[in-house]
Amino acid sequence: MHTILLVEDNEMNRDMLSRRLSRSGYRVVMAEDGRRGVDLALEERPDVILMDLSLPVLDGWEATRLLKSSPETRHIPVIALTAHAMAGDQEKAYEAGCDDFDTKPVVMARLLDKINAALANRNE
Amino acid sequence: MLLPAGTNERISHFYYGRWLQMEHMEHVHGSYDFMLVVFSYVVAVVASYTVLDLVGRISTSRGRSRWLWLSFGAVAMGMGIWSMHFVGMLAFSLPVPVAYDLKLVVLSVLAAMVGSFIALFVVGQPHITLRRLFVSGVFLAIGICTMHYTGMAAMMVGITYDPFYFALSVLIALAASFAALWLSLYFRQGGSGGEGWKKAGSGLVMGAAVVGMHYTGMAAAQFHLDAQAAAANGVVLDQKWLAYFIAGGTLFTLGLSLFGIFISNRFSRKDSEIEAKAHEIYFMNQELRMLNENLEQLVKERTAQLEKAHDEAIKANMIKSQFLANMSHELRTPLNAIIGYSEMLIEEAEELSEPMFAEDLGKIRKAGNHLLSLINDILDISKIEAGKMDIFYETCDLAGLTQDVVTTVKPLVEKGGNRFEIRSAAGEMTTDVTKLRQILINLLSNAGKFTQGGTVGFDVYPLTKNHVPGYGFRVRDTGIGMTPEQIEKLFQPFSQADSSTTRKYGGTGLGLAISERFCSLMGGDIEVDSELGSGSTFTCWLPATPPGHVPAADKTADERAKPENTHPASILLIDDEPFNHQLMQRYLAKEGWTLAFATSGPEGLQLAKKLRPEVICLDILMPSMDGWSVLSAIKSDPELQDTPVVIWSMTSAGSSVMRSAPPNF
Repeated sequence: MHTILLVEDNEMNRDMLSRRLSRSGYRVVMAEDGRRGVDLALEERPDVILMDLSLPVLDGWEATRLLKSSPETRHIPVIALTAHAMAGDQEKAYEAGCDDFDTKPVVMARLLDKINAALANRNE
Repeated sequence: MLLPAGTNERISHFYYGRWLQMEHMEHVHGSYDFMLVVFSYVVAVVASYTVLDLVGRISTSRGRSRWLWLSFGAVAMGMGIWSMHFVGMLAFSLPVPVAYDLKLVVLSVLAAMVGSFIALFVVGQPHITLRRLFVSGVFLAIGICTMHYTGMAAMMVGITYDPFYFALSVLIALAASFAALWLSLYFRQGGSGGEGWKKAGSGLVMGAAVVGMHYTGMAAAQFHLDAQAAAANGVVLDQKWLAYFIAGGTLFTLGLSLFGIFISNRFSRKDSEIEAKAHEIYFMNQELRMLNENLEQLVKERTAQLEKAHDEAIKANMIKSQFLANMSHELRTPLNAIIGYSEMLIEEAEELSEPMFAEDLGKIRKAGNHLLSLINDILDISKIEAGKMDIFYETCDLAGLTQDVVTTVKPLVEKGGNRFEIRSAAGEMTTDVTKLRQILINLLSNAGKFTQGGTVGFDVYPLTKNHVPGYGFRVRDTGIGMTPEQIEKLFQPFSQADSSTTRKYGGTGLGLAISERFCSLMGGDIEVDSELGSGSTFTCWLPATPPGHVPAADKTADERAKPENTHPASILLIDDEPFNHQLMQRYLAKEGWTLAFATSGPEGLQLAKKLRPEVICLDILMPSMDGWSVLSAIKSDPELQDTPVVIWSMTSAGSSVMRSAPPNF
């Protein structure tokens, strides 16, 4: 069973998304801010990280940068999730080192595709 | 004061006058030639008139010409006075021939001239005070008297003077001088046209005064024939003819000078007219210049106002777009939960075999999705208007795209009992597939929405527009159609055909506005053809390759899309791998492109500024400064932000997808 780290500050979205991912057969660990997300990534070594970008304490871009600069977490694919769909968001996400990008509200099928692609990439 | 005659003897004669009646002298009486007396008067009048004229002339001239006029005036006046005097003297004939001392004659002429000069000099000053007038009058009188009595002394005849007449003659000279100068002043101040007769009258009076002085002076004299007369070694003149000669010559001279004054006045009037006109022109010019400056100032102010208004409008629109974007974001977050939970509950209800729940939950999800699409539309249009809409180009297969779109809209189109006809050409194009899909879904769902029991057609076919190869996507329906007025407002945001349309068919009225803007962002356009009651046809055209985009990822697409007449242009390749440089050089040089290379981000930025390439090809994975950082540096540089950038993204292995920031990034 693959482990997904979900970093999301909105409680409802975190609950809803985690339950749906669990139903799809993943183990889900959750963090509500960027700092906690980085800590959990080191602790749990998840297979994929779903990263909201506007987060308290440490935002998603900064958290991703930290994760990608550490040799222990560098290899973990990060999929950015954001309700912002303004110009530059996507660029900034890639710049920070995100591997993929999806907009909220999530379309479950699309998100699962992206998770699977990330896992496949990682396995190669 | 008076220049006395040469000898002591004469002085004594002077002092004792005729009452002393010395024994050894013969007392003689002279007689006057009437014609010559008249002549002398005429000379005096003309000379006076000339002087009156001259003073004005002198006062208006400056510099060298002033001195010339002054000298000329002094000579003319001195000559005039003197010749009057001399003619008067010659008119007086003594019973014996009288000889003249030439030296004294010349001296008397000079005295007249010097007196005239000084008088004219003083009175010709720009500002005349009473004092000046007095001084100049005194000098003129001195000149006249000196001249007169020197001239008398030149006669080689014993003369004694009557003190009373002598004094009277001096007074008359003074009065005449003052009168002459005052009159000249008077004419100078008020004198213009129509005053000629006054001047002439004054000349007559002045002449009379001068002549009066002379003959009074003559009356003061008593002539004696003494030994000296006999022993005269002076010149004995034929008096009568000499008088006519001198008077004629003087009149001629004076006439000439008057004529000269007249001519010069004419010229100076012309001059002053020209000067006045020049002045006028100068003022008009000045006025024009001021008006012009004023106008420029006005234009500047207006332009500034307009610029300000323009900036404010743009700013206001940006604020509006930002507000809409933020609003959309805030709305989407709870919507995310609504849709997510309803989807999740549907799954659970289905698992628990609760179809009633599943159906109702489906309605919640549907309403949520509808709301989401509206919010997405608003977000899209505000992104477009804020200039923040990203375009991601990739190569796509037309058949696959068509299939995808048809699958999505088929339920919508067929819901109204419509027949759905699809014809699609095979091929590939480079475009933003997500946006093209959104455009097509929008056009097709509109067609389905406004058509009941008719036909909706969807054709995809190659279409070249303005020599640019591309594809046409035609959506035709047999629905309600539109009036020309409705077509006119069709692509304006938030404007559906009318408000009843909104009630009946729903929608934000943003779909077409967004589609049209997406199209133009990707270098294409949308055309509409519609008739009320018989349906509409929308044709979306997009270039096979977007403008400014160099297809290089896919060799076949590259060759297909490249226009025949590609101009040699410069491409800057920023890539840390030298092998890629060689590869690109081999590919692109063949096509006539000139290439420049940089092996790092900073070097690339430097070269980009220096060379201003038409296209920049950017590698993402580079040490020190990665491609994304280089891209944001390029896009934040006002000099470079319009340069299209082609990015090699190797994120998904197997297929090399190209991403490019469009010019309006």
